[in-house]
Amino acid sequence: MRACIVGAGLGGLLAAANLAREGFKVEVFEKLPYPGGRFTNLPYRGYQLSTGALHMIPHAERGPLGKMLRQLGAGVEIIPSQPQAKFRISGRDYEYEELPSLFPLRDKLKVAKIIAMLKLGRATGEESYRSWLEKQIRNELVFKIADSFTGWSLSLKASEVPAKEVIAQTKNINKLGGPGIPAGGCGGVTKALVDVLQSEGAELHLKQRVKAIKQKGGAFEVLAEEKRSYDIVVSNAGPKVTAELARTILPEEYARAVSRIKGAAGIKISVACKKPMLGHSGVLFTPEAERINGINEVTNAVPELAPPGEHLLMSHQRLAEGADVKREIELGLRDLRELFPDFKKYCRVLAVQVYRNSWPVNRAPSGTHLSPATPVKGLYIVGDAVKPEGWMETDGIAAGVEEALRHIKASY
Amino acid sequence: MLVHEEQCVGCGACMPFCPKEAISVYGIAEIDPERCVNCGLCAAYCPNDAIEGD
Ligand SMILES: Cc1cc2nc3c(=O)[nH]c(=O)nc-3n(C[C@H](O)[C@H](O)[C@H](O)COP(=O)(O)OP(=O)(O)OC[C@H]3O[C@@H](n4cnc5c(N)ncnc54)[C@H](O)[C@@H]3O)c2cc1C
Ligand code: SF4
Ligand code: SF4
Repeated sequence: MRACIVGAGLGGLLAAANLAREGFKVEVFEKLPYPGGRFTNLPYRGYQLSTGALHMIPHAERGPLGKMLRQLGAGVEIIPSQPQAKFRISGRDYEYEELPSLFPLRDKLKVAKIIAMLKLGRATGEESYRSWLEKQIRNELVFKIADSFTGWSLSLKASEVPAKEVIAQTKNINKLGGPGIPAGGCGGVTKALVDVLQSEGAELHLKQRVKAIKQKGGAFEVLAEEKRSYDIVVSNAGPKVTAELARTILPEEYARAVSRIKGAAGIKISVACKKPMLGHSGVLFTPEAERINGINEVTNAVPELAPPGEHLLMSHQRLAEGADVKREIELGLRDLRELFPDFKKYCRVLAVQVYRNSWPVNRAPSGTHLSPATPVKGLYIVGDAVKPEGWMETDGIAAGVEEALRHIKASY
Repeated sequence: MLVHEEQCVGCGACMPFCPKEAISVYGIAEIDPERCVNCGLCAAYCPNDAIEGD
């Protein structure tokens, strides 16, 4: 069985490594000169910036990605964040469990009840997380905390995510724990997966763009530098690009349906710091900041992501559709200066990176649940548009790859 | 080198690869023609096909 993987992002690499282990003859085509897509390192002035991710894995070693890496024999240590998260409110940092103490008695019980309901993980209808919260409580701070969480992890406002998705995600956090930072950052994971491909005999072709996916006599014909034939094709190029590449074989309604999916956009600011500004390896949620949803300082767990003795701080903010990007960046930078009064003294902005359109934070908004199987038998989609319910970011990608493998194993 | 403004998202992937530190990215990439030596690296590393040789 011959498998062609289009794109060497995390989704493509995971699919390729698994299929190679299952005995498929695997070839991966990547248009860029490097593998990893939005999940690899960008070395810059001694710091390991990234092509996308904030160097965190949502459920560290205990989620679908950690589990899959272990099963593949990809030896990457994922250091659990300690604490998982803090919330900066009125200049002080609180742990999640401390949040009810911030509210007047009248609301304290309601907040405790919301936390309990999130823990139980009871599913609801199609309402948004924001409307679900509004049914329990009317308190601006609660809504801001919710927006900072969904902004950081999904690049959406609480009003843009289905409540049942956030509830399922929170249930997984309660069960499996919070984030962790891979040794070597995102690049450490990508490198480990490329090593697995090599040891399993899969071929990785860089600087080779796939131009078309067609079918001929029961097999797929993939056009990159040359034309080659495969039994299955797994595309990591995103549903829209995939629909374009395979336009002669996919039904038009499918292409129309995926063309309507709107990705989520965001802005990441990477900062070089002469001293630790957070002092821990968890997420600092910033519900009261104008734009920034959260910040991490991964060098507290993985010091090699910065020069010796220095730190890498990264902020993330959701970017609304149609917003003035330069103004949003300015507001983000202003937030950083306000959150850290000694910012000017110890910190230097290394890069401001915007993710939108063809290179977004997320190709499909959380809660989309696109199937990895397409209407064409043998053609599958993996990556950040294919995340089963309850799984976010790269753990969602790994869970989507698991689902794709189930489909493939049932048919081949 | 030419940055196509409608293609560039401002992701900054090109910036660290420039051997001449000719690229600044702030919402969109800008190339300083005084520093650029037309090596083409930025165009190869751009995920969005936003840079082209001129
Ligand atoms: C600012 C930001 C912060 C984030 N933070 C985190 C985080 O901390 N933790 C986390 O878990 N996730 C995080 N994410 C999300 C995570 O980075 C992405 O979900 C993940 O990297 C997407 O992987 P993918 O495989 O779906 O797609 P991609 O990484 O985009 O891979 C697709 C690949 O396909 C290639 N390709 C496209 N078309 C073709 C073609 N025609 N021929 C050949 N190759 C092609 C592309 O070049 C690319 O390499 C973050 C994302 C952003 C942007
Ligand atoms: S062509 Fe080379 S020198 Fe010019 S901006 Fe691009 S990377 Fe820099
Ligand atoms: S890599 Fe491409 S899209 Fe990203 S900032 Fe540079 S030119 Fe723009």
